[in-house]
Amino acid sequence: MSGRAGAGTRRLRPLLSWALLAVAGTALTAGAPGAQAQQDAIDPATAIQGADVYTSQCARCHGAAGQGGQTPSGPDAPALRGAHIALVDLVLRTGRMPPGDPDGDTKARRPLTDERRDALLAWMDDQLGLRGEIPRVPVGGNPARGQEVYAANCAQCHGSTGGGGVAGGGAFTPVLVDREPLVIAEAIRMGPFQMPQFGEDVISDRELADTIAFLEEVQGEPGTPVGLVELNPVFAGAFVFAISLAAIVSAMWLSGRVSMFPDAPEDGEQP
Amino acid sequence: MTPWFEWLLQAMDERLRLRAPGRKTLNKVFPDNWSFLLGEIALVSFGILVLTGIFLTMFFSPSTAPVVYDGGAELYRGRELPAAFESIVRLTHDVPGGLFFRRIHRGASHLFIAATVMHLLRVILTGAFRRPREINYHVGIVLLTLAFGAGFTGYSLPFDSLAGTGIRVAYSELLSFPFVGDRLAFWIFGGDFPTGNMIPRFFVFHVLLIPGLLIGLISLHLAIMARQRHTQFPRPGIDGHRFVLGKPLWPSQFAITTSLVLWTGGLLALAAVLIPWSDVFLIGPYRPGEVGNNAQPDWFLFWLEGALRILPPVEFDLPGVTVSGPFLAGIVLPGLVFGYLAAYPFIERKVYGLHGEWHVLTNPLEVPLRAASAVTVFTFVLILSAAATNDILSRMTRIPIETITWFFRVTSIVVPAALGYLAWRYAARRGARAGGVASSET
Repeated sequence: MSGRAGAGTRRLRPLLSWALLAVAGTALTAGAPGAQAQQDAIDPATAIQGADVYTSQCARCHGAAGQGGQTPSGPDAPALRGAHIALVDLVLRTGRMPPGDPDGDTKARRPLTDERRDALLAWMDDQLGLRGEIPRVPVGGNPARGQEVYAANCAQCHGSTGGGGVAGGGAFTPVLVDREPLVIAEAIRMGPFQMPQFGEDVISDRELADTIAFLEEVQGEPGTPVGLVELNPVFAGAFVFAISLAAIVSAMWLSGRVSMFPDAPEDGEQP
Repeated sequence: MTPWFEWLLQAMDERLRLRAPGRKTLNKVFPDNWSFLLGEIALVSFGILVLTGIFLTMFFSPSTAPVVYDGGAELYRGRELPAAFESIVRLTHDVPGGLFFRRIHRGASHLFIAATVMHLLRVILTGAFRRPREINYHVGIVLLTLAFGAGFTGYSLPFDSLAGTGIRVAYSELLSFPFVGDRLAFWIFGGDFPTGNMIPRFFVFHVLLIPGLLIGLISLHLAIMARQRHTQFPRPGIDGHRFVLGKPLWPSQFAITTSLVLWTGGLLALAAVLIPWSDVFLIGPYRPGEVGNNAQPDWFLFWLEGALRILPPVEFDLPGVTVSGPFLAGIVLPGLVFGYLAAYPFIERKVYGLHGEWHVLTNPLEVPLRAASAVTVFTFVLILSAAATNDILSRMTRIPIETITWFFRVTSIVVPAALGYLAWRYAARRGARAGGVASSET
């Protein structure tokens, strides 16, 4: 939020152009399916806040009209006009965007507050013509069935207990525990980035609820007094190293004789 | 109590003539050094494994037939599970102390193999394998192989997702044997993977065949150790080839061993409370064809897993047979390493033209061949082991897994060779100052 003082004047021009664009867009798409959503006026205060977030944190890379552009560090920033609303929401909720570091370190995760995110999303939906819709989050799932759905569809990439994994070529599948259920639903239904999309013919709404319930079960697993939950063999290996060290120390303590060989003779000294 | 013991011992002696051999055994001299206790830690862990294993056997169902779980664990109630996994859930959730004993058993298995490996390292590095102890050294190598077998079959029995994946890899390894692969796989698995025979057979291997062999060979290992003189570290002014300096088995060594039993038992019990290394509750039962992204074997097989991961996809035809990558990484590589281990005592004797017997340990830094071999093989195995964690390293460092794989392909060859050469150079200089390899021969 640096440069807040000068933001007022900078904010007005794009706003005006948005207003014009919106009028034009509405005229062009009137009568097309989905136009109804765009005609629903959003609350002006929300629009101003959303526009403020967009101009201050998104427009620099994605362009004032959401046409896409370049990040300061080089790579392309995708166009947001016509993007899937569930993808935009997922990216915002998981803190992938806006970058925690304004100079473009996309690895830092600092999600917007709920209020600012909702305003931004409403404004973008209104102005940039996002497509699709936010999926429903079915509730009341059964974790037992969820474990089977998860094992059949998710574990191959996200690991058996949602710990994440590698996807090759420098891509990583994210950790799934500690996620909002809505994010899980969005990812499954829309298929962000390299993830495949799972429609209702593959994972039904009930199975989606089950999967979410299973992930909540994983998250709620109490673990041992030091907070460890089921260990992958690699981390178990680290603890094997620790108890081996403890065993060595106890052997040294018990035998009381730690030294093994007499010191090496110096150069020229007779052994 | 004492008169009763006297009466008991007297009665035993009258029938079994124990006095003379008993006194000899009780007076056996144990030189004092912490590294001589590593083998004892392995022995104690093995005892704990047998005791906890007996308990676990009572509650385990060696079958993959589907059964419906109706116990107290909500995640599984009413679900159809493979019987082996169902019995593990039951053991964990419905048998008092079940999870605790499972964790102790798993922890003891880790410590058993780790202590065995450290014991082997001590024996190799200090030259305790030299004549007349090659025989016990070879018994020890068979013991280590059996320990790996026990570890692998034990990892497989719960039939959770990781276990099934491990069995699948083992099946492919067997298939990869030239000429006899399909027969071998059929004999051991009784059909194409996944068969209903795997878990029952692995159960027999794990609770009968391998422990039986282990108990027999450990007894032999100890009998040979008792029969032979114990090795010792060199002490200035003492001819260690003629005298053994140490404490008698009774009471000194016995007291140390008793303390060690208590230490190890306490350590494993504490670890069982804090470290959930045998828990398979969340990862769920194995379903053929479904592999989690995060699948690794137990740590002692990391080197083979690592070799499988970084070996480029090679496959070539020899007359009448195709040789594949899994065969090279999973069969040829451990064959070479264990072959070299077994052959090393003879190689060292041949290379340095040694004769006679050796009862005093030598510093490995004064024997170039031993220093170089140990450093090369150990770093090679260690780097291959690290390669088995390439996915986790990639996630932690955010370096693409392909880059990490190439890094290990290069370092697994270059680093062991370079360190082995340096060890050779250093040991050659230091050994020459100490008077040469054959300087303390009897």
